[in-house]
Amino acid sequence: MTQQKEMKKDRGKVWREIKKNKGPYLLISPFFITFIIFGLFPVVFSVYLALSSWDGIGDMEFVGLRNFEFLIKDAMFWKSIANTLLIWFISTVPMIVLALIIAFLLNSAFVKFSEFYKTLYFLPNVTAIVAVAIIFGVIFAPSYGLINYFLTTLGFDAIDWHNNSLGVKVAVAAMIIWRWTGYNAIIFLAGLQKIPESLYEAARIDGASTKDIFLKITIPLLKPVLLFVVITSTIGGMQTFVEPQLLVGNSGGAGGEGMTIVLYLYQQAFVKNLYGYGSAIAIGLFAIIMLFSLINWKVVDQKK
Amino acid sequence: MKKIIGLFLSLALVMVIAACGNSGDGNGEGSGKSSGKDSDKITLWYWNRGLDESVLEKVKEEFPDVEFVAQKLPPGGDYKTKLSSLLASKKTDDAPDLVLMNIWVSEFLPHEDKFANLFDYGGKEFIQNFPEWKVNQAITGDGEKLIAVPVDTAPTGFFYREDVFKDLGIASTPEELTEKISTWDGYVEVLKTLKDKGNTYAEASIQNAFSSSLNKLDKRFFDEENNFIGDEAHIKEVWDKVIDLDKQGLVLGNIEDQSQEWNAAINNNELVGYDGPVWAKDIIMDAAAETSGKWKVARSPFSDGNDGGSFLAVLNSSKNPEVSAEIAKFINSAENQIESYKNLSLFPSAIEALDSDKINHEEEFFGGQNTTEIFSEAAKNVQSAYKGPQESIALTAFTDELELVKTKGKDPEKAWEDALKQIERDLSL
Amino acid sequence: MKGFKKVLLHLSLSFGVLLSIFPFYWLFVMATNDSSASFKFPPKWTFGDQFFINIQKVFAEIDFWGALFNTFWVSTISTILVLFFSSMAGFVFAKFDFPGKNKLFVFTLATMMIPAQLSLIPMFIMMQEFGWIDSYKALIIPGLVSAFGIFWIKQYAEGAIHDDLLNAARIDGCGIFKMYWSVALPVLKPALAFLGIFNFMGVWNDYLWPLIVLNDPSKHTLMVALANLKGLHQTDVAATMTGTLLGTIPLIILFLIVSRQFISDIAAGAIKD
Repeated sequence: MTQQKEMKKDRGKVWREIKKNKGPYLLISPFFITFIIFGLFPVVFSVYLALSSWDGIGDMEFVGLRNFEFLIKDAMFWKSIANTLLIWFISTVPMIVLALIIAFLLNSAFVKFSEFYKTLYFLPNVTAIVAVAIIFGVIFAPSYGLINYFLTTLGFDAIDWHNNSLGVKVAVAAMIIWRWTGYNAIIFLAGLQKIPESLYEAARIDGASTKDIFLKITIPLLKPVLLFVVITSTIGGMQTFVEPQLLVGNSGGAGGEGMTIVLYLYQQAFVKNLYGYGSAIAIGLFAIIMLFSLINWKVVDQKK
Repeated sequence: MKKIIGLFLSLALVMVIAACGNSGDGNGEGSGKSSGKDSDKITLWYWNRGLDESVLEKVKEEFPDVEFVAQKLPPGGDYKTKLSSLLASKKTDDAPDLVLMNIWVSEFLPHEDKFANLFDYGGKEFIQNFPEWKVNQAITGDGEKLIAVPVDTAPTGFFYREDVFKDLGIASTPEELTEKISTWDGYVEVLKTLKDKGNTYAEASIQNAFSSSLNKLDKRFFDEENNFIGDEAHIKEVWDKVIDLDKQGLVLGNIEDQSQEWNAAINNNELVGYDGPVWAKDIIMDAAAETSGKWKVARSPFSDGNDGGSFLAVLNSSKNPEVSAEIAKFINSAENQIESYKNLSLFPSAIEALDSDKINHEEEFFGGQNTTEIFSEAAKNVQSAYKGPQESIALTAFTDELELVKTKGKDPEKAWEDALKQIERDLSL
Repeated sequence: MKGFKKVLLHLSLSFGVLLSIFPFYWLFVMATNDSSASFKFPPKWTFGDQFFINIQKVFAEIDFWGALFNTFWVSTISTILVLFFSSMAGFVFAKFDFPGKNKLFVFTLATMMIPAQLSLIPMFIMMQEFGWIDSYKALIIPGLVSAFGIFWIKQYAEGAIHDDLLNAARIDGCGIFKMYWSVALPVLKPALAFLGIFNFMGVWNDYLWPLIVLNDPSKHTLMVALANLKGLHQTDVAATMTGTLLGTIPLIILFLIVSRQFISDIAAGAIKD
């Protein structure tokens, strides 16, 4: 009885809180409403699919946890995770550093033509993927590729960009860096715009060097934007798909050296018509991201 | 600025409301009229260059009572994904009546319930006009249902650089070469001469050597009850042969067919021969424009094969399957296939078209040779081999492992075992 | 010293620019040559004279202007809606406290981790149920509010909108929407400019989803129409490149306009302490 009463009281409290804060709730509600309508069904569908065997057209057959049993023993799945993490690391770190430097330079008061630079740096991100595919195909082709042409002309050995374990990852990372550095630089630039000029001026009058200004004013004030870039490029990095697919195709190259998690998901579902298994991979991916977030959160929490 | 934003937002709102109202109306009208109007509207999905547009125009004249709408979509895997999504959902309001399908038609055989059985619409007589191996690809294992009619085929031939082959003393005419490569050993001898005397090749990758050899067999990875037979001798034999080819250094590299790199290899006179389908003609003509006149086509090494070719199916959801089937047959009449061949090089499948004199013509790129003759002869000799719905699972597993043998020096026996293990796993999922 | 620094700065910026525009330059080269030039090795580096012939080919193959119009329309509507709803939610997450805020926000971020490939089929099934096949609603409504946009606006608003401003507005008796509209929006302009460009571009360049939900070729968006330049086995590289180039130019112009009007506006010092 008392429990019920308490629950009732609780519910009343929740309701009061919602009423009190109806403004904020109302303004954030469109996202949650659209998610419930359009996002929930695909998620539930995928979870059910992960427990089923389905060829994409016919009837689904419930198989319980069998897909996951296979998944845990699947060497390619674990390899795709390792590949994804490695590619994420060798692309994201240089990308963020470069973007930060470009944004800082462009934001310096004395750069003329800033518009011009900004536009040109944004160009790679604008270019449609159809063209990117053809162009990078030629750049990184192993036998008749541009880079290998230069390497061999200069007397170096050619690198097999499709099959060499590190080669594939470097090529994929290069594509990612190329496509996203300018974009991230623009984000940083937008973040830099809100740091008042007066702060820089004051620092300069106090005799601070460019390095000091960068480390002591720019970085701390840029923190929320920096966090945004780190988190979005991590989420994006875990879902790396287009670049390896363009470079080495759905098979991920010889021995799957360029196989990423989402590419593996795609291959299993859309090439081999193993939709149940593909969904299981996606859920595996989700679990891994959650695990990382949790560890990350614990570490940050302890530091506090 | 505030004004502008405000203006924009109100504009957006108006447009959204307008948009919703509009299409809402449209939908309402659509469903209201559908009973009267949709029944004589026939929609067809095809991909760019998959059907000849002048023939589609003729459909409108031939069937004046129906409103015929042909919707062109991007080709390849994307088209297949779109079609699969359509068949996956139970609702069929937006489904077309006719769909063009590629060689992957056999993957859809288990879902024959999604397609009209064309045997019910005069299919039995109609398929008499086509080679058996072609028609069989669209017939269910029990022989009860025909889910699509043949459009084009892709018989193979051996494209080669006549000047190089002459210089190396291999052969001076296509007939002579055809004779020389009519056995596997003869073909290997030719490859050896190319390599030793000219440092040139006719096989770009071990995977392609494997799959093009498979195209010549009368059985592949599955029997007609969809039991896996890919671990049997007929596949192992091909596997061993291509491994041996690579061991002798007769495979150029790890270059995918018709890829950018493949084009470059042809352009660079390194790849001087190619056992490939008739549609590769246009690609070679593009890739090696400067060597026009120096190419010839012989019959494929050791046996004729087929690599591609499409089908036209009527979906079961069609409100007017009878007329749809008639249209499908009309598009693929011998006469219209001949026209499609002339306009788009869609190689005909109808026997009458293959025998017709009208498809013959001399080609400048091939030094005046009438290559059509070679391909139409091949088209009649292709082996009929059953492809199961899980064909791609098996093929991918084998070619993935072959790639490892080539690029990482993996032990071939181990690779064979691993391929079988992979297939066993995938088939159980 | 200052002159030297300037030169060094421009040199390094120009080097970066070279790397980033090189593929685009090549796109131009391919668009001005015929297709067989792209098969040569080593490749051709110089502009050719085939540009107008290629343009004609593109116009003959596909309804370029129709597709351009469709894409422009869809991208614009989608962007305006995304800007409105995302900035509203982002602003609230940044500046207001309410029970469950953190959980709701983490949830918002988590939705970004769902791989889009996975949703393809279930989403298509839903669109069929709603009767949205061949309707632009399928392209606009599901992406009405973007988690990415909410996150971005929140991060930006945290530092950019000063609490004093909001408090002053509250004392004046402003409601939450009025605070958003009159106080937050003007300050968020640079962030909105970026989000707008990004979303516009995303919708503009999206390919697989519009292909799946649009059947009628007259409704196709630009990327789907451009994919129609491909043949099953053979692609006219020159025409594809030309089409891509033509389809990219509007985005570049838009970028120039927006980056000028919004970003430099703010840089001139619109922030009040």
